[in-house]
Amino acid sequence: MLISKKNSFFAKLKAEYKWEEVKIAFLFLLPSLVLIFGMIIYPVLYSLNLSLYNLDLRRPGNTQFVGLANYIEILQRDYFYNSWRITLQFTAGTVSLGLLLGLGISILLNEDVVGKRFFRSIVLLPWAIPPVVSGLMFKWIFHADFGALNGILKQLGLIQSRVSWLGNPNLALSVVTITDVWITTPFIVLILFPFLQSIPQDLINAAKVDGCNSFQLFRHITLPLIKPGILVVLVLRTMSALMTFDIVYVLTGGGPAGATRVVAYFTWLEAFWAMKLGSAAAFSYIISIVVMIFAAVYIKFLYKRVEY
Amino acid sequence: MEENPTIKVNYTTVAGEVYRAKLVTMFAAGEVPYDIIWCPTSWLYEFADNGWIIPVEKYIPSKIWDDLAPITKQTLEYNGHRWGLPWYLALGFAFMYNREMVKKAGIAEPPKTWDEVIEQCLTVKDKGVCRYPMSFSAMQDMDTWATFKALLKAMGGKFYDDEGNCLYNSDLGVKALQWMVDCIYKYDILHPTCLETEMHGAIELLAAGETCFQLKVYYYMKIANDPTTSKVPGQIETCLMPGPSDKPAQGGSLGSSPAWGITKYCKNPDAAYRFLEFLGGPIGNKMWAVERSLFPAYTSVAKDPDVVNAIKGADVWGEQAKYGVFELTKNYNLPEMKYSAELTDFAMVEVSMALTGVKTAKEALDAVVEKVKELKTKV
Repeated sequence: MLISKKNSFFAKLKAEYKWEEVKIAFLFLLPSLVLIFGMIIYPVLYSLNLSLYNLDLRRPGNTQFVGLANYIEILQRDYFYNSWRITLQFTAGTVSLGLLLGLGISILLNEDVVGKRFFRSIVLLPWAIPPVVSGLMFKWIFHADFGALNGILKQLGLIQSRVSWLGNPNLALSVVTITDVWITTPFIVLILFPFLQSIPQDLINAAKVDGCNSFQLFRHITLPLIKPGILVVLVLRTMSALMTFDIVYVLTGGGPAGATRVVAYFTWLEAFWAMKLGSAAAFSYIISIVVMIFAAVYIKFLYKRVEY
Repeated sequence: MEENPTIKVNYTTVAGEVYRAKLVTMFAAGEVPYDIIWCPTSWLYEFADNGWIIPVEKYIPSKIWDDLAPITKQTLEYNGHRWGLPWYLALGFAFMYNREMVKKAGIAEPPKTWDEVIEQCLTVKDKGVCRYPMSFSAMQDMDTWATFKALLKAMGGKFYDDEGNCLYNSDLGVKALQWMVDCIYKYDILHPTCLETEMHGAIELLAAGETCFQLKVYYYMKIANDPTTSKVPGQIETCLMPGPSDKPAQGGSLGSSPAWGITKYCKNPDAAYRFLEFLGGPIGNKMWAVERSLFPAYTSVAKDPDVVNAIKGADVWGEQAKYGVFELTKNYNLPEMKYSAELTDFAMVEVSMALTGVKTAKEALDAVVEKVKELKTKV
């Protein structure tokens, strides 16, 4: 029965496609498949395997299969839940602020103003700068002693003495969030702007004729039509925010007092500071599972087909 | 090389932040293209235990070994073997001050006790000479943890008792950390940049004339006095490390000697040793001393006039070394050694919590001691 099923599958395949063309297409795809397998699939599977061993590079001779022990140990670790709290706080802040700012900028760029082409170009600049460079730049802006921000605020009389933005555990995460918003807002504009541009002008004109004000226009016409774009932004930005490492490393080193120790930073510490690759791999899989849950939730509740 | 024309040396430099990860990864993979590597003290024993470096006692002549400073000998000997030759003698932390600022404040001589340090900082501040007279590493990083340990030692404290019990949360430990906290909140004398700048950044405060006193690793004094980059060249001096009130100026410091070792993958250890002796012997130590102000690990080299002229403060640090102790305990089975990465990472967060007011000094150090106990169960 199995043989006859297999035969009918290939027979169907042969009937639908010319076999020679399929073979040639496969040959053309082969380099990409090798690359994808070699650089994505194999490392993912290898690291999953690694997460089941207690590999510590400082004591490589003691490596043993430990099953899920790495995962259990991490879940019982100091700071684990605090680290997730910090990460989720950071993610909520950067995604929501970035979305609001990105949407606002996209709406402004959609207006017919003088110099709109110029503004549409320069808005991408922060995204073009490497995050590490942006992090260093903001480290200087927020510097307690030499920073431009303290200088301006003091000149305006808004503060009496220098504020230690990066040395205060209650402020440091906000600084990291602001830096991330600055870096990632252009990406959000890049996603939302085309959606705004694709809204048919007829719809807007009809709504105006019917007496819609700006807010009603936005609420009933614009927002529903750009929802797919918002979903893309939410999914991609949340995934990226949950895995943020570079600006934390540059700005605060995870401090002060552990106030900016996001989960990705913890994974880096585990892998490259403590050299425990097994538990670092387990840590990264825990992060991946959380990211996938977020993505699934977004898609389930926000995805709807859009019809004009 | 004139004396060894058949030996060719290829030299590779690696950025400090990735050096350990690169090295450990290569050893774990069993592919190490290097014959000689640099090993800070805490790694030396780990590498020796893993069999990654080879003992070299059969190569070292007695005249070279006998000339080494006592702290260096303690560093290089482990488990009955000798594991390399020293790059320099790390004298640990030094107490530095701006001579002109101190003079302007009417202070006759630098402080000898930690209470005098506070008094002189307040005098300098009250007389308007300097707004933030004190600086030391206070950011969440390993240098801050090292600063605490140096202060604990300088106040007469110990890290472990004879039974191996951790003493970080002893009265003296809490006093040392509280001293750091009080500099920030009670006396308002610590430069705010210290809370957000990593270890190299704090020395720039001294070089910029922004602070008067500094507790930092000794070789940074050269940078602070460098006429090409410093705003106060030649004004930075050093003095004996302040001590407790019953032992003024006898605080001493924690010393060690980062070493050069020969890897087990070296195919020609005899030739490698000849280069090792150049690099880590008296000739190499003198070269590093004259060019980079790295205090030599050899007693004869420390008295060399070229070295004495090159290292400002050499006479003070030579005297300070008498009160110094070896940085790490020789008991490798203590968590401090076997799990130094985990302990340092944990401890620097706890110290940062104390310095930012999230926890008290006692709470932070109690947590560190609990961590030591937890790691002890793994050893």
